Amino acid sequence: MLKTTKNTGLYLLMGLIAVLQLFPLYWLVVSAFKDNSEIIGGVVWALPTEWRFSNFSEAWVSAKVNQYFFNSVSVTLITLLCVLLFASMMAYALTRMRFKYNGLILFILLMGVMVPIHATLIPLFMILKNLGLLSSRLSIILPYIAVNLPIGVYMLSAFLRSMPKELEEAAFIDGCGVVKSFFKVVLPLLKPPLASVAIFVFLAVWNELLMAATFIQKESLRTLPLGLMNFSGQYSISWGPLAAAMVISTLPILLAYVLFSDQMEKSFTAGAILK
Amino acid sequence: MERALSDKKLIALFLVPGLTVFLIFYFVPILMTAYYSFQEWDGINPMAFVGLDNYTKMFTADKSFWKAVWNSVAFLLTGVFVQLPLSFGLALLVSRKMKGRKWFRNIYFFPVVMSTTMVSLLWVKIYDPNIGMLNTLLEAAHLGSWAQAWLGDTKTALLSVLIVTTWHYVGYNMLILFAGIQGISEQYYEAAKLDGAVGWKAVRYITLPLLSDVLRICVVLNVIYALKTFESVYVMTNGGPLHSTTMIALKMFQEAFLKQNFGYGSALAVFMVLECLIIAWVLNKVLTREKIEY
Repeated sequence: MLKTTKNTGLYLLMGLIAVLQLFPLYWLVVSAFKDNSEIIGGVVWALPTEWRFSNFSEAWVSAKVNQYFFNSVSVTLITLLCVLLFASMMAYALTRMRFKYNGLILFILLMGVMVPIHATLIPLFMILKNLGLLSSRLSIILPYIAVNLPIGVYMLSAFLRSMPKELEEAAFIDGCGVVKSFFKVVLPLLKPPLASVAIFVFLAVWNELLMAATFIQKESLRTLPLGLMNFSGQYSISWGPLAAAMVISTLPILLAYVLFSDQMEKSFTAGAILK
Repeated sequence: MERALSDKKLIALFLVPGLTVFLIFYFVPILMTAYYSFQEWDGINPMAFVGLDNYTKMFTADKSFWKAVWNSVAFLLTGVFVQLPLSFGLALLVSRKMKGRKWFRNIYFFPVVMSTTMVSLLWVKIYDPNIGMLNTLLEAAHLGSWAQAWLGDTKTALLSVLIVTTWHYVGYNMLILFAGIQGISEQYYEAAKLDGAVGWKAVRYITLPLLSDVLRICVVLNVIYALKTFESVYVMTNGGPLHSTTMIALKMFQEAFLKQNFGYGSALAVFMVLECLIIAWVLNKVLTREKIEY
């Protein structure tokens, strides 16, 4: 008897906290379907009287969220592919190959894990300007790759160190070269840590604002966070379409969360311990 | 195989692509920031070496710098003394063996994966005096006299921003602590039960001590995150009103890209790096005690 009352109390408490965590998001989602008069005059928690999907089409087309969405997708995908490939190659070289500067390179990469990206912003702006990259997608893709490589290399080399060498040796005996055995044997075995790195990088890049705000000078190249910020400045009056735009920009994250929440937990705890 | 793995050309093939990008777009800029910080420079005209002038200005003449430092302290204290205990409580809740705990864990964690920009824009609207949900809720609760422009008032702006960061990140520490709690062997609790340690006593004498390593990581993480705060204040208040929510990273951004003071902005960036490294190092020293074994 005591046990059940205790559990009910516990569920009530946990439910209350869940409401605190979710209510702002609930408000966002219902606002995305409301118009201003309903938002200002209406009851905060009420469902919309009429589901205005027009807010979404207005955000998608007139507010150019479609463009920002495409920019975010392309920037994130390119960064992700490059980080996964480069980081696994570097991790492989640093754990399996024999050469002198191994320790030095790991040490330099460690700086990338420790030093906040804010410290690179001003010189990066100058470098990108001098390279003539400021008005292109590369102006954020290249720094994003650089910023995310160290943590990728660290997560992957931790995994590689604990991986037995027998399979690679077998591949060598079968006549594979280093490159072939890397792509045919090592990369497939790296799938679990690669998934962790991928989630980490996806969230970091999809959500990044500071570098985008500094280096993206063309309106047509804005990513979602940057686009949303400017959108909110221009549309300070109509909250419905802005809420719709925010819902759209969070959908990929929600989808990733639903599909890979276990993987996500793993990559967050692994990433935290590295930082 | 050994010979193939020490082939210089192959090693270069594996290292050069990533290393090049990393060096040009991360490592070299860090060094350049340090160099810029000794210059007076508007980004267009030639630089002029001014020695430590930027740093002197920062520590003596610039009043809003100290405001930014104090705000960092406020963020740091909130992170360690409000958010971390809350996270620990949540972690304890979701590690109880009960139905649906995974659901609760997922719900508490979800805000963490959303971008700071999104969360900040959402809360700007929540705090909005006209359409915001907070004032409307207060009026519904007959507390209408409390309603106000939360982010527009020097008295409430910082607190309002701190509430948002706490709401946003409380699940992050929870998750790390939860992982730590899962790693504690059941045997300890069973042994403690025989000695009469259950409930809070078990938390005090088993969970907390065995979690000290993870707690240390959380403290360092929270402190570093607090010192690096940029997006939330940039989006919500832009440092205002009257510098009441300004942060070092925001000042660095404003000095460099709005006022064209690239030298001074770089000095602020260097300060930030040193601040983060030194505090992390000190915390690691102070918080490392002898390893606990049972």
